Amino acid sequence: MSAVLTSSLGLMRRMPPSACEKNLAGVSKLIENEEIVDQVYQRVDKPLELGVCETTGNQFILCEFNRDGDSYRSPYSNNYQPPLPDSHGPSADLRQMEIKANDIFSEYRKLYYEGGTASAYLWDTNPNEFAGAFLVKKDLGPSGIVEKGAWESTNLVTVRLSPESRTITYVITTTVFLQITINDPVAGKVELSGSVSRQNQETAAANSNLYADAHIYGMIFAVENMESKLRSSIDMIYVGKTSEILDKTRKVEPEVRSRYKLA
Amino acid sequence: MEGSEVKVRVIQYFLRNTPVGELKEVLNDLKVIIGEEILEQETIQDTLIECLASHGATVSINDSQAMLTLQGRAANRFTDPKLSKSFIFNTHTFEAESVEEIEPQNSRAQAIQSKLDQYISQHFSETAQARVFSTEEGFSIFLASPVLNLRNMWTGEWISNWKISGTKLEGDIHIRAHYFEEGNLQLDQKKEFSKNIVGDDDEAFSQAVCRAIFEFEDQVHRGMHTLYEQIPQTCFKSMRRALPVTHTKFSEIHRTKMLS
Repeated sequence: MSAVLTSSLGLMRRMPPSACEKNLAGVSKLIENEEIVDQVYQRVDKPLELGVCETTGNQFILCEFNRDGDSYRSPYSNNYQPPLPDSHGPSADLRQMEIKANDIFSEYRKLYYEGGTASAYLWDTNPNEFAGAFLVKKDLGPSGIVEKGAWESTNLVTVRLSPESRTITYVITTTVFLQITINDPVAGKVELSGSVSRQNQETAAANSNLYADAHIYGMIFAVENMESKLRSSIDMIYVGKTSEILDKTRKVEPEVRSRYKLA
Repeated sequence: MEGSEVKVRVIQYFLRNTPVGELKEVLNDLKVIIGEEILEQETIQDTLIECLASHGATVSINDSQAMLTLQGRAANRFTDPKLSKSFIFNTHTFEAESVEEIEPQNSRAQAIQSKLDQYISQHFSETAQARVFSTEEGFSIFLASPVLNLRNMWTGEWISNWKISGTKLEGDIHIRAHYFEEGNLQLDQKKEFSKNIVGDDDEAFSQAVCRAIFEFEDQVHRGMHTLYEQIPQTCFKSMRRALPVTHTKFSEIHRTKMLS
């Protein structure tokens, strides 16, 4: 990794997560080398946007994994919107898997998310290997003291078949971006935002080919495992860590008891 | 690639949005990205000083900690009313230079300072500081409690700004926290307050001011604790359930699919 890329990513980790696009636009104005600008954009998780499939009317997630130039491929129609003359999606076998993967991932979404949008994108990488992105975006509208909230999870999975050892390996990187804005009459305007990432690798026995349905389940099981791990650490990280820092800046109970009384 | 005016504005944006205690790290990254020259520009150096002052950074003068504040700033010379000193802040060495003695504060400002110091020693981190300035309208108070642990990847600050004009006290509390292990997580809280202060002599007046500040800050702090207790249930649960409603995981429902 070039020093400029390392520093750019380092800088992004210190800027407000809720202003991700502004931070990226800013750093791209400082970097001279356009290739490095592209690399920064690829490596930083950006807010997920929604598009509507022009063929089916279904909503789908717009992200790096279905983008080509300014167009995005609908997982329903397989068409790029706006149309791209030279674009190509996944190979025929993988496209068949992608259709099923979207159906099955939608079942998964219903179990864990009331509402929200989920999309799955697959693409060819190497022989005996392909990659997939499983994304969920869920927004919370105003309710009580909560002004708005957003959950965005991006699960990037590579599937590698080793014909010799008859095993399949799933390498998964999961990033959850979470944002809550609260307007509390006592505490004031409170915003918690940020993203947390984790990686994992799982190997399972595989007596089937690379495009078997079993691998769709294998990928989604890996997603479930990672999202559940991150979900259970979110209370601890978002609430635990930031409240711990808060209580280090100020103490509710006086440190030294003295005759001096404020209250 | 953009013209240098745009670049300067971008750099200012990054500096102003840098969490407390992380300016050196951000400057180092910017140096690698864009080179040292542009960072030496007067506008950037000026913004750097402004940022340090907005966080209430401190600098050693002999055995005391002098505080950089926006209230005490005139160009790159700072006044510290508590130490009765003024100094120039060197943005390269991060040290105080050309230290001069100044007139002590009036008795009322001194009384408020002394009450604030007691409050801080009881309720804030060891690194916390506050300063009282006499202004045309009355007084201006700045309190900053930064806590830094870069090695364990977190920083945070409690900042409050208060103005007293006549009998009216108004101000705001601003709390921020940054946790950046395996990610980038930030807390940003803000609340404004105002209240009328009653007190005839310096003692009663300063007591009333500090008591009001204490009560506002305590209210916010306890309010944050209550909020933190509610967030997992009210917010996180409605985003993604920890377990499906049926308590059966997707992988359990579809276990057989993998074996086929």
